Amino acid sequence: MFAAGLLALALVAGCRQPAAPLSASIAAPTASAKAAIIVTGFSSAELSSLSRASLTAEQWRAIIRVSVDRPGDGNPPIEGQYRVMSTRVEFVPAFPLDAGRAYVVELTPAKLPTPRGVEATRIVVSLPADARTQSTTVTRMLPTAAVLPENLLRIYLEFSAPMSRAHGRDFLSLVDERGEVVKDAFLALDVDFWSPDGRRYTVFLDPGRVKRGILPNDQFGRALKPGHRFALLVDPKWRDEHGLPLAAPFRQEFTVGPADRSPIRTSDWTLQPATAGSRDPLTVTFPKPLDHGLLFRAIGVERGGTKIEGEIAIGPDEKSWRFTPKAAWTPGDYDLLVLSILEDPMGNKIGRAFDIDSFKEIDKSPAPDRVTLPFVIR
Amino acid sequence: MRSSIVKLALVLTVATVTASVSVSARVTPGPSLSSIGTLAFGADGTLFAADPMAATIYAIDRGTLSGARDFKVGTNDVASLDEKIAAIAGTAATEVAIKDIAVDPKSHNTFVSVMRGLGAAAQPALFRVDGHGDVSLVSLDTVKFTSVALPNPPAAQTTGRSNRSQSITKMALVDNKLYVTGLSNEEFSSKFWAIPYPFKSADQGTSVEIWHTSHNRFETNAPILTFVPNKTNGKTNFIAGYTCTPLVRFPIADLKPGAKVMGTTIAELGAGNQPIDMVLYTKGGHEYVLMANTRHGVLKISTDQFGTAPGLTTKVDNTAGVPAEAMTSVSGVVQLDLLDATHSVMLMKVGTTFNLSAVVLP
Repeated sequence: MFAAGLLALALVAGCRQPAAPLSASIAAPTASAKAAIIVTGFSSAELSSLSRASLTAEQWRAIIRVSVDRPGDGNPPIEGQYRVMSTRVEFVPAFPLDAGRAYVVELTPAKLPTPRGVEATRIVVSLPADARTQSTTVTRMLPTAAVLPENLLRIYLEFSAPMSRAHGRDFLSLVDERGEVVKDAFLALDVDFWSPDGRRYTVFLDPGRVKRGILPNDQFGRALKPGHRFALLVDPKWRDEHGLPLAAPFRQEFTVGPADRSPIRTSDWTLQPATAGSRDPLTVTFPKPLDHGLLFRAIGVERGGTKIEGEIAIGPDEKSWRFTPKAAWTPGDYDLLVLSILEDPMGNKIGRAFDIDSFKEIDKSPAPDRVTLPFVIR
Repeated sequence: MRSSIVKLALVLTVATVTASVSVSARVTPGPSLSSIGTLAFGADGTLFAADPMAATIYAIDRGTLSGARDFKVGTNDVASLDEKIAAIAGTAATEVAIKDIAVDPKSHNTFVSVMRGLGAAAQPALFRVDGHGDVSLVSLDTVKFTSVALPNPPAAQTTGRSNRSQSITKMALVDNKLYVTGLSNEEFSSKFWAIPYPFKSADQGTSVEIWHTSHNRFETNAPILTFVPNKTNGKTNFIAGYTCTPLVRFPIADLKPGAKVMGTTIAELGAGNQPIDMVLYTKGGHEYVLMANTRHGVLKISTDQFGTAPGLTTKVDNTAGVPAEAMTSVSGVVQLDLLDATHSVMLMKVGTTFNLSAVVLP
């Protein structure tokens, strides 16, 4: 993970180098090396004695101490390695130095193995600040339908570029049609719901308010009220992966409709197979929107138990799923494979609503992990 | 502070030099974590560290965690722990995220998992706080470890894109099994893995669905956020804290692969709240749970009724079931672990900074 500690490499060789006033600079990172603090001015004899001395980290820090430039006393030194090179000493920090941040290098020649009778110096160095300008935006909110059920559980926000992994709920608010913020609308967990690429953030509405019979639902009701307009707001202070705020705020308005407590019924789906010899898509249409994220991995196509490779596209309002095979369809029997992990944005699953009346309704046998819908390519 | 870092560096110097001069030395690199989150210690001092980005759990040999350095036993208070960690890591407190704390049962030092940086270049890091309150970076470069990957998420596609991620909210080693709870950013359900330990690569554990009644009629398999084991009359149960905030009991014997388990809701702790951490302790011959919450602060709950309390079946107006007592002396607690027989250690948010404090068990 990191190389904390101290490793003196005796690489002193070549021409003799006279002593000069010690000076520090910062070397920008390269493809193969982290940014480092470079200290020059040592004579060849001093470098030799430093490499021979096997200094402890404490002794090194008495000579060269690197810390973040910030107000206050007792600022701890940065963890890292000291390396004696042929003409200089390098300090390589355990973690990459930040662009634009000021670092203090305190040089104390009096602490060298052969002390110099000169005053200590304090040098502030920094890497160039990131020249990027803010450009990241929220590209859309999912589900995309104009009317969303009052028991909506899950919302996705997609971004134009990777974001920082800061907690998103600090930057999100739900407002009603009077512009008033709906309090405690979201699930407040100390957990990050980022996609691996940092470009999609999952927002859970507080399931305690979504589910019937739960205390928060009884006390406060659902955050979303049917027949009313709401908007999800994103504060542009939310930072992207480069630490820059969003280029613009985001506001998505929607109307709230009645609760959807119906399970997903694959028997209600319509399959439109393509013709043999073509690479036209297979289109599956649903009577209601399904979860955009899960549609990409919960549905696939099999033939004789072998998965068929292809590209998936999701239709308007997440009410259809289109599969374009990599190779042309050949005639025969196929299966649409639907995994039981599939949910709609309200958390309803195949054959089972998000909140059910009684555990007695649950089939206690091991869950069928898949449903298959046969179709024929002609 | 300064001396602790210096000593750590010295120890590592020796290790590095030893490895480099021995031609035949078997240099085993430490775990290459892509992220770090939840921590837990086994009773023998094994440190379990979750890498949520890789959906992998590392078990780190305690004996190789310290090197040869002496750390003072215990954990002393550290004000502005986030700022000190940031300074050692060469950045500002706004650029570090403390993910979890866990106390080594042998040294009673507190280990702190941290993500250094918030962007794509963020790096995992582990820090230690000892009895002097010294904060030091822990090198994982040469630790001995084993690891297990959580089972791959199901996929109907061989080539489809996946935006799924898996967080890990709690781990506990009970009777040679590591029990793990987690949340996905896509499926909203309760995942509970039981992974035999020591890890075997072939056995990635099992997951079960755990349901609980919601005091009225509606059942749910919402995610478990934190849990503790409880033994009553020779039977081991888990007492789990769910979102919004019932305490639910379910027998460990029921956790079988693919099972659907009905838990018993034994307490409702109040609405608009999420549990953060639960730890077990004993005082005056009685066992208690100390439970940190987002809204209701730190609660002390006697475990006397955990194994026997009847399930809540009627509508609850506020709180009900096994009684909980608020610990009013602390606030802003975001992380909690048991420090020793008489103290807990808490990470508390004060303004914009985080203080680590040992707090007497109530």
